[in-house]
Amino acid sequence: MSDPYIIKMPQLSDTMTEGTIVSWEKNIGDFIERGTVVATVETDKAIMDVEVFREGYLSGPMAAVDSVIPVGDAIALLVASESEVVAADSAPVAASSGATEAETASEPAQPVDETPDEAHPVKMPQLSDTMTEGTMVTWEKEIGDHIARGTVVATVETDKAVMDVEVFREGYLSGPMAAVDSVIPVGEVIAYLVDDKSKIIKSERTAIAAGPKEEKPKSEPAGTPKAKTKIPAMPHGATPAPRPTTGQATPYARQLAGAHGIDLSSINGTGPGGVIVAADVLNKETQKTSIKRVFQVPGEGRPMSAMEKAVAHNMEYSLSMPLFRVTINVKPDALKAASKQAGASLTVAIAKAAAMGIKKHPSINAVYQHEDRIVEREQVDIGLAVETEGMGLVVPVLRNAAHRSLAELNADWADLVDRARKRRLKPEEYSNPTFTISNMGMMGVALFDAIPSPGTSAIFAISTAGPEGMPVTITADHRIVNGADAAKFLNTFKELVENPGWISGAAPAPKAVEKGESAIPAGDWDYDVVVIGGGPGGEDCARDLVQHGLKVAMINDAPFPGGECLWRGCIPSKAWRAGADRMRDRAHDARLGVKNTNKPELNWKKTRA
Amino acid sequence: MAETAYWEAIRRAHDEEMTNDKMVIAMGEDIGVAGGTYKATSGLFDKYGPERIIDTPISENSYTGIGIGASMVGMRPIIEIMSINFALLALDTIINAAAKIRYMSGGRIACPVVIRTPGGTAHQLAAQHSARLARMFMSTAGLRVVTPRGPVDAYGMLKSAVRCNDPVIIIEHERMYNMKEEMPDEEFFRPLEGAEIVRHGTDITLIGYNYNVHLCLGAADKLAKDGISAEVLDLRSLKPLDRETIRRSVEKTHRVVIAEEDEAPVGVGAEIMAAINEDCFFALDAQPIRVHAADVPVPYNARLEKEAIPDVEDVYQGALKALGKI
Repeated sequence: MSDPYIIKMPQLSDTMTEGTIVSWEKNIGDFIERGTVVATVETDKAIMDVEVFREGYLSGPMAAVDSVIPVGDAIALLVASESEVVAADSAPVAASSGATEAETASEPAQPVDETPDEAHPVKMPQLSDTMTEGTMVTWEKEIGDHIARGTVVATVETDKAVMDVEVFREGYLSGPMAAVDSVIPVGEVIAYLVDDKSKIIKSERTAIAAGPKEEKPKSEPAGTPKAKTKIPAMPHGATPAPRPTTGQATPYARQLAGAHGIDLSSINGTGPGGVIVAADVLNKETQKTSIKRVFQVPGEGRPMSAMEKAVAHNMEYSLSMPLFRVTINVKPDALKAASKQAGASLTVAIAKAAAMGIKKHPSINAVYQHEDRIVEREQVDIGLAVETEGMGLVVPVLRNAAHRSLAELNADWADLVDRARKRRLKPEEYSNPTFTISNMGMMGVALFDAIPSPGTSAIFAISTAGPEGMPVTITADHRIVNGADAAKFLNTFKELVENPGWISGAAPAPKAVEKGESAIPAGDWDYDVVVIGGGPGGEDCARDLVQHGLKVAMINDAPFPGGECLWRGCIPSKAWRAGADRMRDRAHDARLGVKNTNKPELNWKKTRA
Repeated sequence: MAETAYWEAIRRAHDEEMTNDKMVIAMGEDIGVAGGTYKATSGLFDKYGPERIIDTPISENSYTGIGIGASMVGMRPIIEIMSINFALLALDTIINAAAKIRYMSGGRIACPVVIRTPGGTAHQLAAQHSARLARMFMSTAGLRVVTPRGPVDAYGMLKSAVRCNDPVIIIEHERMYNMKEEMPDEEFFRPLEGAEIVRHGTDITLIGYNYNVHLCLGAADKLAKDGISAEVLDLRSLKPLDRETIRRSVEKTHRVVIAEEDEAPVGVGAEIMAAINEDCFFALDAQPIRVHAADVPVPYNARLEKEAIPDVEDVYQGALKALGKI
């Protein structure tokens, strides 16, 4: 008898982490052909079909209708022959909404991986806003190792980078342990920590199957809506939608509406007092989303890596952009020489030139916002596409490239590239450029063009320099950028590249005085420094400067230094108070046995002196 | 690993640090012969003698000032102030001397003093012995203010504080001195900065510090029974404040409740709310809620005192409000 095939809850959208079974389209015992729809599930976006790409007989244990199943968990089985079919409720695959704790306890679940006693589960952490699953890259510790708080036990690949999994508890690492290269949804167990060596289990899971779910409420309390709207991760960088014309919306609802291009005035709020909350915006978004029809390519596909998926989805967005292209030839030699002299990389110099050009043609920096709005942006943030060896494309961002010095940008860039190649960038370092440059000059390409990423209106594609110069092609969103705008911007850019006087002449950032370097500019001065004011601050400052060998002039509004403090403020007040204290004390002297002091007199003149 | 009470953890940290460095001394009322009002220095007088475990008169300004002065010339005093209410007498020396001397001296004089003091309402100690002045120290530049929630932090943070060159105020809590926690036998340190997520959740963030972290954990248990997944964040350090961890949690859950034992005006909760507004306003899907003491001097009457001070139910109700359920 061959092992049954597990039908799992598929991930039907980017943000889906669990799905609700809406209906079973086939019955237990039915023969299933490849490509048959066996069930429908409700995701965070829509109701979608669950197709099976293998044949067999549908068998229990089967997840109940209305139960919520995490992505990747079993919903039913496919068996090879009719005789192996088991009843739907033979053993629950996952705790269904109707199941009580007692039932679950009396009917042990499918034989799943053993779990060590009194173990603390180590779970797949959510390491980025958009991460829903991670791929195990390495285990940094082995089963049986003693783990101190804060130890990195594993590395995982997210949709953005390879990151560390830290454990904030002490114990011994124990199996069952997720295998390297397995893909684990966020929150699922990847290993266990036990406090005693004897409890260690040395086993590895080859794939994450229908494991027991920790800390999931076993039963939904009565009255809880069955299809809970899952609130997605924070959409950073989106401009919040305007407030609704009537009523109120929460800030997060505005942010989500801005990100999805939804008009808040078209939504009825269900929050306290009719406030529009995030869930209302998401429901509206769900109504808008229709099920996508796709062309099913034949053959056995391999799942995309998280990064491949992110690139594919981003590129799909660009289909909604009406794009056009303009090319200009630029002679890069002068810029090459100038950037070399300045000790900066040519890539950074090109980015800076582009940023300066964009400042003169700000439409390049604007972006279309759904629906029929333009977001104009002051700061130019240049994304530079970098190929990480064998691991896809990342786009680190040089912030405020127009206004920061070449040296500063260059230092940033060296650090960013280094970490980009190791895939150790933080999300804020590769998110939300306002313009992107893809440079394939070093790859011997005659001419190419690129696709602007979501959130930008244009991108540069830089090809290899030939006799005519270096072809620079801009691909731009025609909703925002006109052909003439693009051409003018290209000419400004060409001018900046071919006449890089701005590199040496660029306003230097105010810098700290180096050791041994004088802050006083060379010249014929009567005094090195003039100090205005002769109070305790001015006087001390002047004295200090003189002691350091400078010639100082002090300008004061009185004949003697000392200022308010010495002549009118705290110092005389305290002297007078001290005098008054002494006079008061005299009145008590006699009681303490001190004689002949009971007629104190104040010499006012003396006190003031 | 051994189960250790909060006071034992503090005592152990004193003992280890005094053995490690002769410059470490302890000062305070009744800490020597009597072993400390909360036993935090019990047995140490016999071990280290009256020169290093110093019983002081009931004169907070003087002995705190002496300790602060001693720290400026190389000692590492751990000062116990029996109740944070009495710290008011020593405010001048704490705020004007300890917090500022590094700056006033152009960086030449450090003030590595540690001031430990319980800051909270115990049980029927009445208004003048029930103040919770965390907010006052939190608003003073130049100080570090930490609030260990249990024995592990109480031990590890006191040890870090002794070795830190800044003045550190450690705010403990009368109701925690007998709280127990498993603690490693080997020596360890806990950082003086950084908040900690003590329970992960997705629907709402409950922020606490000091004793009220435990109120948040209790409320999170109640919320879990309603199917609501609450994240509990322990600030650990009020100054400096870990705004980054707060932001990340709020961006995940979009709703927030801040529990503080003090009255609300110009308080810890107000500061956290300001930080949230500045850092992640557009992540909020509901107004942030503060759960705090009634704006009255803490009553002596037991029933009134209970009403005036937040408990688990109050944090739970605050969460329901933030979730739009009441």
